Amino acid sequence: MPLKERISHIDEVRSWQGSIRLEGVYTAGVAGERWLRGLQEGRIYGTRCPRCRYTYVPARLFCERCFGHLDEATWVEVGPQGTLTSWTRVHVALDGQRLSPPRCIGLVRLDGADALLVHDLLEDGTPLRVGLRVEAVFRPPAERVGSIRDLAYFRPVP
Amino acid sequence: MAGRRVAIVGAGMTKFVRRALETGPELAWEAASKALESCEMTLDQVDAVVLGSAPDAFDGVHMKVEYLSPGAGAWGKPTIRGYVGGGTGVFAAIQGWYHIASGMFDTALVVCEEKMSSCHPHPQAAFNYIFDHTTERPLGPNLLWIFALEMNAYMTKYGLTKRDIALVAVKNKRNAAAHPAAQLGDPNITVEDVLNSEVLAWPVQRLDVSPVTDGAVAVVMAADHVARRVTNRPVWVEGVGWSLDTQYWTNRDLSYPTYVEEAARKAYAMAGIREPRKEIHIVEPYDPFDYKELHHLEGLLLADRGKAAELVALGIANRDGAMPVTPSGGLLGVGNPIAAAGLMKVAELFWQLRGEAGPRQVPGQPKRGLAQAWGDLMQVGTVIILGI
Repeated sequence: MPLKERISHIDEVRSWQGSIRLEGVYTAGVAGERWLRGLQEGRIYGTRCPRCRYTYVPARLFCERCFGHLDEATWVEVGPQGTLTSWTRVHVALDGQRLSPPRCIGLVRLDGADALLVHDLLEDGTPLRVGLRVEAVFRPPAERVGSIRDLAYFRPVP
Repeated sequence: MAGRRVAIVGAGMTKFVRRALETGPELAWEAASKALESCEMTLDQVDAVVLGSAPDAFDGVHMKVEYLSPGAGAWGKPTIRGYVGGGTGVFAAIQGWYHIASGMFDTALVVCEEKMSSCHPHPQAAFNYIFDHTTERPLGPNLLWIFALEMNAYMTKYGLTKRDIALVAVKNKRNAAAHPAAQLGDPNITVEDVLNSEVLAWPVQRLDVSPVTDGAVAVVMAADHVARRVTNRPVWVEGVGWSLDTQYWTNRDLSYPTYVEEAARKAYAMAGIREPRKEIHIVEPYDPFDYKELHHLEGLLLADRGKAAELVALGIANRDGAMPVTPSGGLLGVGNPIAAAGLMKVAELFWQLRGEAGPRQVPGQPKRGLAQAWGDLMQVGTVIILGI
């Protein structure tokens, strides 16, 4: 086969370094706008489809199951406590560098929700396990800007 | 069976490597020309081209299929891109099937390519842009999160150990040692090697994961009357199926791939298969991670939920076992040039069912095999069943 078996250093072959420079400005959307304003107030909302009895978090404008419009009447507050459904401890960054300390990520079903939310998980020494009770911790009100980051992390319920 | 009968009549592939000197079009050309040579066909006998490739960001070229088209024999021909992320390799073969089954074309050249090494420093960064732009991307997500959360949920639900799952990586990397195109074949790898490898995102470790790969694979498909002229051993498409789960990845059942079951049930129904565990002789499930092979075997209804690991532990899934699983060596062993990896599994069935797999040959003259891939935002199942 004509393939070079192994190229260990890119400067062994002729190559050109290029990048595709693009930046985006993404609107949060009709439901997302209101949902993020809710986080700014320290509240987590969902929208509950009355037909499918399924509560979406983050809140959605429509139900993907029945295609129904999730209007004003479907907004419900969920959490701030919930249950850990899975977790991981991440040791590498996107560029392959080791993370020190590692970063802990949790998948949380907030009380009153069906959908799950992914976010940082604070390690306070409590052994992590599926089923652990956790709660949302928000940034101080003055630091909130209406972003997913207004929710600082989840932590084990003391 | 819907539409006309369709067969695969030829297959070819490049070697799978970490960084190929060849450009994407050159890789595509090598695989496509080998596939045509294998059935003694020429480009002018190809009616249509199906080109499969995963995100543009890997090759670093937008409208990647147009970029690849010279190497896929697409000049002057009706051409379509197949793209369902990691599910693309099997889906491209399904597209080839319906191009011909519909009666529109008599032959199709199906080519899948990925050159992941173009993406620096690591193609992992490209995956950041598949996450929700306002609710997930600000967290700086890493694709490994999904797999780690899924593997943890699967292990917890069924009480599986890391060792149970690592046996899959050992089996596939050993199988790949007999594949002439393999990137990571290793006849001597042990379960300790996997368990001692670097932790990426617990419970996922380095050797639980398939590598970054450059490569291309192609197959030639033909309608019944053409296939019988081209070869005395056509490999027939007996069933196909595909299905998509929710885009909201957090909301799926992380311990069971429902989308694979839906795709498999469609393919089994089309192939008239009632007892897949008896009627499928070779399985090539998608194995970008070792636990995913187990996950997918359960979704394919070839193992009870939580029990696929037993097939591996007992040797049933070995190449000479009662139900050989990933005799090629899979993504874990041969390599994972995303779209090309799925089509490599289809090509493996083609060679196995014709008895042409050499040192990888599954004994007992298998008559029917299944290949499956998985992709998009980890939510699509694509399944094809081939038989002779």
